[in-house]
Amino acid sequence: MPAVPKPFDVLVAVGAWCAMAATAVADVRITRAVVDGRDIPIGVSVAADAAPIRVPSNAGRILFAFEGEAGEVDAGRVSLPAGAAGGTSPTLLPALRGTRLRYRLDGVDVDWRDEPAHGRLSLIFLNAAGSTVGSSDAKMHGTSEGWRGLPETSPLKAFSLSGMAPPLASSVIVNFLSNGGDAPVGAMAIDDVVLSIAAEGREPRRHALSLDGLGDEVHPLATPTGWGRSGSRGEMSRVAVRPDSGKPILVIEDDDPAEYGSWVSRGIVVPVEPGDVVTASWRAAYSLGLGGRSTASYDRLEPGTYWFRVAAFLPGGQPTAAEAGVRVVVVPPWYLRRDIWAGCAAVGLVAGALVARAVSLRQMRRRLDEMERVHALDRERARIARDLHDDIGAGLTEIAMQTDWVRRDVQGLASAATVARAEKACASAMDLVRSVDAIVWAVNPANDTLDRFVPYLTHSAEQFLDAAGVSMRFDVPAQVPPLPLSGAVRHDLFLVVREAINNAVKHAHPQVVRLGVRLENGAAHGSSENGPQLVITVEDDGHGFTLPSSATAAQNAGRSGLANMRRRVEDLGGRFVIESRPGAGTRIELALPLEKNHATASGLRKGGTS
Amino acid sequence: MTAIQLGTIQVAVVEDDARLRQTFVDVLESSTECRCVGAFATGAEAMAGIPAIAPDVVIMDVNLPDTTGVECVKMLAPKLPGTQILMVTVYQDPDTTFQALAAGAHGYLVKPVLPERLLEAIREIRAGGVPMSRTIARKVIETFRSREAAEAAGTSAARSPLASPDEESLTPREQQVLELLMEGFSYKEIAQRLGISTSTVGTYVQRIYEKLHVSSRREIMARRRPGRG
Repeated sequence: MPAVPKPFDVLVAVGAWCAMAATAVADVRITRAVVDGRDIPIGVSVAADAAPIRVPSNAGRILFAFEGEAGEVDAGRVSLPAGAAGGTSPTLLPALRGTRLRYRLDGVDVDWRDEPAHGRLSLIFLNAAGSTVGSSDAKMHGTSEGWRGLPETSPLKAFSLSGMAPPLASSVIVNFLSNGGDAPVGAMAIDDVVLSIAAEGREPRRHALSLDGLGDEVHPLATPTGWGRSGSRGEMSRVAVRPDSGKPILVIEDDDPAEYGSWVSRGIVVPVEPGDVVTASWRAAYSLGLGGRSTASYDRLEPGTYWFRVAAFLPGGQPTAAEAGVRVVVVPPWYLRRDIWAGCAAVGLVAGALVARAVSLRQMRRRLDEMERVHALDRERARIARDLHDDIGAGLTEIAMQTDWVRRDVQGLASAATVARAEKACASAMDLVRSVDAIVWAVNPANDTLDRFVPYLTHSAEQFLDAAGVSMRFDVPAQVPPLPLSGAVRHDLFLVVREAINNAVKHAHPQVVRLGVRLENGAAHGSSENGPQLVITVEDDGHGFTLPSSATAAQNAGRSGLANMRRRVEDLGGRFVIESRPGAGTRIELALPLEKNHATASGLRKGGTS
Repeated sequence: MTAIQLGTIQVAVVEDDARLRQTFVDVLESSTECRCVGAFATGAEAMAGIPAIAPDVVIMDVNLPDTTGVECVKMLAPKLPGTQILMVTVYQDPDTTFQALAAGAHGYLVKPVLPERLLEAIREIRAGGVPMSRTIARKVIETFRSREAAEAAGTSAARSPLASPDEESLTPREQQVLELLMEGFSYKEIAQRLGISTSTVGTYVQRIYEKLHVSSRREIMARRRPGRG
């Protein structure tokens, strides 16, 4: 086991932040552990050797509350690391007041978690009297790319924000602040603030809000012309010089969760008229997290032993050694414990008999509940679809875009293998986005009809075939009736058709793949079903193959995909027919009676609507 | 076209997800051809702000928190004839895509939009070439057919006196291109079959888009007129 830091009052030497002696006494405490809303006493025994807190495995959520602050600060932070400011500015920094808190649950988290906080840039619209008549906000959230611990040395990234001048507005100013609504601790810098004012029928005007009047020796507490310090503690706002460009930048170093710093361009008059569109562009570097106190929660932990830890970091994100931890044991459920089983057996027999009597009464109630359940299910599906799209979909899209960018950046500079790795990461993220798309589409109850399914099918088919460079022919009606088709059925049908088209392209090397969709009367087709049947055909003019005589043979021949497709269709109550001969292409037909799908949640509700 | 900075394409972004919006801004700013002139988080802000900026291209997310991208297009397209709107969709949702195209959007991209693809699409749309997919072609045919049927039954709104029938109905050649497209033929295959060049197929498709826009706009106007059911 690694050496366990003492939880309290660890004396830290802060080397990374200050070259000259700056020692902080940081204090971190875990104050509460709450299981499903009920406090579990942890008292003062948060020490590593203390008895762990015990949590039953059927617990839903365990929440930890924690807090921390910087205590005494020895000598203040006198100077930046050697070279960080290019030796141009002796930086006089105030005493460190607060620490940034990070946490992790060993056994679940692989690294420290930073509850990301945000700073803001606001466009503030003023009337002729100088009162605020409206504002527009952009958040700078978490940590900017390439953050190096100090705003002066970290790369700046471009931002853009548009807002419209409200009635009575006569000018606009910019407010850059470390108060994002949460209680951030961290550091941030902005540079190159430009306001562009546009209006219909007028050429846009551009105003650069430059940092002038600082003199040759830029003092951290100097004030650029037209700018002013605001916020609850003015000295959090300072000026620094970028060692790379020698240019000054505006910095806010927020070391106190209860306070905030701000820079306001109050003295730079940028006139606007109501209805003007103001677009601010700027560059920023930042790293913002939570300080003071916070909570962390974990849901449904598996049985096992965990260690919840909280540590103090400096505002810029550099570690200190101040840490607190508490051990958590999640006790296995009773049904995994043999001793309890034996005792339960006897009681269970009696209880079983009683339950049986209650069941018939319940059946009536269940029918009444069914309607409500259907609605609840649909709402839940819509919510899952939305969450998947908003969180996972957007996140994966971001990953795909960023990795493709990495590929572009390293092209020609890095080895072919590195470029290929970036390509592969990007392709994986793209595949996942498409999978999420397919799931989102399938679970969304708004798509529970045939007229939504058919265009989705042809759309996917044409994208795939176009990408594969295979010609296609569609025999699909222009208009499809909105017959009910449940999410599960749609998804299975979609997967079968996709597999059929995939197989054709992969194995048969066809010139043309044909996709047909039609509605048939089941009775006319000699089926026992009377309602309409959906018939989908996938046909290729490729190599073809000798059909195996049975499903087992199919599996042996390495065509388990066919058996899978057949099983999926038959499980839905449909019919699966495949015809193929070497040299004569392959034709797959699946037919599905649509009435059967009435037995689904959405079918019940939506049947007959259009 | 008034170019404020010679040669650069002025682009506005409408995207509610802050990270993605910023990535779009990053991509635009990384290119020498484009400049981001507006970044909007909601439909309301976009509808209020974009007419004043009058950008060359708008990158518009289909799903916005306060309204749909389609509604934004309906409102912006008639106001900004010089602006081209590129829809960004996550769902492979041809219905919504078609609605946006019918409302006046000029093209669409399916997320994830890789940086190069985004810039390429902006170039394409400026050059006027927006390909039409087979699924969209089927929906276009469906729309024109149901409108003709409604007109035949006398239920359609009266024609605008400004729009001659030629401006709105498809020529036999355009009809032919659409039908072949719907049956799965590629631009190249259609060109071979009709004995024309691939770029001529593209021109027909552009005209079909324009007619779709004109007729949708007329339908919107007709619906807004009070006293009509």
